[in-house]
Amino acid sequence: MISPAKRLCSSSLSLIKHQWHPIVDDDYLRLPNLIQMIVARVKDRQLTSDIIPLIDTIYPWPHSLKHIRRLHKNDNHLDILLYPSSFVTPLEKTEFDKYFENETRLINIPENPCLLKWQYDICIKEHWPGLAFRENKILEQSQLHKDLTEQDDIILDLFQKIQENDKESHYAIIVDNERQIPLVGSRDYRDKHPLQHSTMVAIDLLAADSVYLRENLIEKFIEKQEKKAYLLNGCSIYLTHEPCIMCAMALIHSRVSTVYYLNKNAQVGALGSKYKLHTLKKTNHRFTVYHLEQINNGDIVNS
Amino acid sequence: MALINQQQNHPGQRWMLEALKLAQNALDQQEVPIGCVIIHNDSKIIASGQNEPVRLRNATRHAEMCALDRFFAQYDLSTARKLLSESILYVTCEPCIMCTGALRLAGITKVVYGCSNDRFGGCGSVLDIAQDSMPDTLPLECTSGIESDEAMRLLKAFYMNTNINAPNPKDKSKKKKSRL
Repeated sequence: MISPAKRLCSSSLSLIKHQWHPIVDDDYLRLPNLIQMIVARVKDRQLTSDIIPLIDTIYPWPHSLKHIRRLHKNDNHLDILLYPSSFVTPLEKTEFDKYFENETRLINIPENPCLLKWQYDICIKEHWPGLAFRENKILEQSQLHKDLTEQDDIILDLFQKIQENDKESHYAIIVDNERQIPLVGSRDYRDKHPLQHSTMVAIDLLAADSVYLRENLIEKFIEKQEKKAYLLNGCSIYLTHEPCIMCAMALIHSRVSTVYYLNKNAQVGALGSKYKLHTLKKTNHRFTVYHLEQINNGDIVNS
Repeated sequence: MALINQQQNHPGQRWMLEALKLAQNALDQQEVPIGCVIIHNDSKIIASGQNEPVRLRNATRHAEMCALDRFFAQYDLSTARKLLSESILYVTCEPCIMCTGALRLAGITKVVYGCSNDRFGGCGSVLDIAQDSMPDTLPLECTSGIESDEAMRLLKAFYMNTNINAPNPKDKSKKKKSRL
């Protein structure tokens, strides 16, 4: 491995602060879809036990909305969600007048449960306060920026070293997470073979029988490692560039654990830019993805 | 999605039968039975491949990738690109998202496949990489359903064998179309 002193000398990255920005499913970045409901105010709270069965026969509360509490008490009032604003057979006027105050109002409720605390906070503040929500600590954690670890610094340094001859090319390094050892590093050969993107070559280098027979670039810097055959379970891949759709799907097939990339690719990037392949619900494997961001005076600047 | 569904009498049926032979070959070697051939001008097999992730210990060695790699190893890049632009790739199962991307990067513009691939399909089943915009590539015209029953039969045979001791038979139906 490289000594820490040597790393500090060679790394210009260490002068600028960087963080990993997680690339997450769009569902975590936006509010749930809203549906408009009619809310009425109960005249006499003693009658609640009559109101509930009545309103349940008119609009039984659907199972899909079980994350919403139909009744909400505030100060001295009791509000109830009657039915969606588009509902066609509303309560008869006589019955309505018997139980509810004149004025109804429209309110939005989230169609699906809130996944994150910030979504819940907005929904209860701006829409309907009666929401069931249980904070998922692991999920909340996965949304946060992550500081670079020592392993990250080592790999970023390795990138600098192997990139020396050709800064334009794309590079990939695969790391065994448990042993914290870089296994293979590859550049990109797409000018000679359209499928030999750095990710594909790195996966090929790690396979027991390499087809492409390209150079493992990190062998100049670290001892040759044993091949980790077949799958990338427990491995991370570091990429100088966001992978294209072919490479991103190859990482799914290979069961990689985490992908870290330095530069986005707006045109073809498949892990955040054009697609978010790692968030597809149909595939049989998912992994976490981080993009390196520069932090200047507390502001986040895209690297 | 430019998907043409032709069940019978497709002019390329004889080529699909060649691809099926390779799929059977893969099955005999305990690989997921998928095969493909690349046909130049409807007259000559210029490359072929079968699924080999197990033998090569590399999960990305799908039939299409094997065929393309073998092909690129034989020709210089500009000759390879010219030949591929005049060719049709026949594959027994819908190319996965990775392979569909690879076919476009390689410059293939026509693919004919058998059964669809609900788990990984890149020609419309999961994503439509065949038609989506991708700089410096041409869209991929897809024809599906050629000899799909036979392609499916082979896949079923594979998963029946490997899952003989599987505790929960429900999983089999989910897995039958997957490529790994």
